[in-house]
Amino acid sequence: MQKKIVWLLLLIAGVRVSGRAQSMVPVIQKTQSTIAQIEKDGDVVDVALYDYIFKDNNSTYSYEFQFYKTDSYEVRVFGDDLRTGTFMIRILRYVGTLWQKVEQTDIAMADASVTFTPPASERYRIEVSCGLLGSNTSGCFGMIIKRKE
Amino acid sequence: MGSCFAGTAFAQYQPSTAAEMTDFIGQVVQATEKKGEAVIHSECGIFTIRTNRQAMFSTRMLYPGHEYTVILLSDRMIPNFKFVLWRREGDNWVRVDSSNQNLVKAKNIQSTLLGDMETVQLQPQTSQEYAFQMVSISDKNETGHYGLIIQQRPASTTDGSTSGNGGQSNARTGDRFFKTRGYEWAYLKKDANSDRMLVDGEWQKSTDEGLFMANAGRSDFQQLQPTSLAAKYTLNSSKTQNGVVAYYLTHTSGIAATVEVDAARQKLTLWSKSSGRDYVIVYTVVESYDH
Repeated sequence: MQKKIVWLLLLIAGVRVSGRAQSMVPVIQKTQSTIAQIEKDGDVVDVALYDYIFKDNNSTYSYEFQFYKTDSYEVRVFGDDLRTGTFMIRILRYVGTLWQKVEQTDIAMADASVTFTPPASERYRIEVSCGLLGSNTSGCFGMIIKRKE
Repeated sequence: MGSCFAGTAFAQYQPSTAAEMTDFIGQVVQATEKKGEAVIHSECGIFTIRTNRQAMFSTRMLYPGHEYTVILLSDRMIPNFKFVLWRREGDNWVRVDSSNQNLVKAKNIQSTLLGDMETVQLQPQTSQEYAFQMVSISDKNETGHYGLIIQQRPASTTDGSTSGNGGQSNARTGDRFFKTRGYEWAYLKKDANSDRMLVDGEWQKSTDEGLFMANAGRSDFQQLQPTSLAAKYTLNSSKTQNGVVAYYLTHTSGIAATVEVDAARQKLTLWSKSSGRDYVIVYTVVESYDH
């Protein structure tokens, strides 16, 4: 039944053929067990997102998110293992006219994570940077923002 | 699941888990890719109404040369929301389109997961950041999960004539486009004494961008944007008088409509009926061009 709904949604959305080499599916599948475990542990998945890192964009992806100072978080990034190498995560806060680093990963890792307790409740920028493997110019990744309960 | 989903007065449905929503998104992505299409961004998150801000938004850069379909969906804790599309212009966000089609209900989609679904299509003219905002418009909405999927395909034309945030039209020879920004509308009623049509109630305003297409040779008139007002008409006849072009139309539902385009005043005015009530919408024209 779910599969029928998925196809119906595609018809409604009016998608047409375009073609792209990379698939987002492996990264989504890679994060699913982690997401299930987070919820089983009683924590909350605030966001799970999937996108691409491009060499043309300095191999960096930015995402803004509202964090609350009453909560503590963990930001985790997963690569697709084919095109993405190691990741660094930086969390920045807009102060005055500049984005200033508040937190970052200690070392680059294939699946990186950083814990974060916000000093204030506001929108922060999460920057994910990655070394792309070989001659690849883009790579898919997944990011989970976990809120600890 | 966390305190977000404590029992409420509207405990008609159980909230979805992030695992369930992500799994559903994964299926949509997989089916999209199997058809040879691209998904450039997908996201699952929490839409909460526990604060005063009954809206959330996510952003992404989108680029010219592509057509995008943005799908925003919710679980059954959020049975009705509006999708508002914004574009960053300098330091400001400009509202460019919106959708409140209630597709799950409208298409009679039977699902234990979905509450509401909205879609918007766009074709950027320049590389800009867009925001996809979910706005609660029902007091029956509770905290739940949303899903966001952005599908990408090559632009349908190479000369950019389907401009603005685009639409579903494949431009053809003879197509004349009218691009608008902002509109106001009101219901009308006939004055018993003078037989004139007067405004019935207040004017309502919107900043949404619009796009219209007229092709007299094909007897075709379409409103392509905003998505919430998209419509197709048969162009029965047209007349030009004192620089004002009047198009006499019949909507696919059979309802008559008249559109007047006044280039000097930069206005596109549409008169028609909805549920038996006459109404008028006045759009501000910012550009008109032929394909």
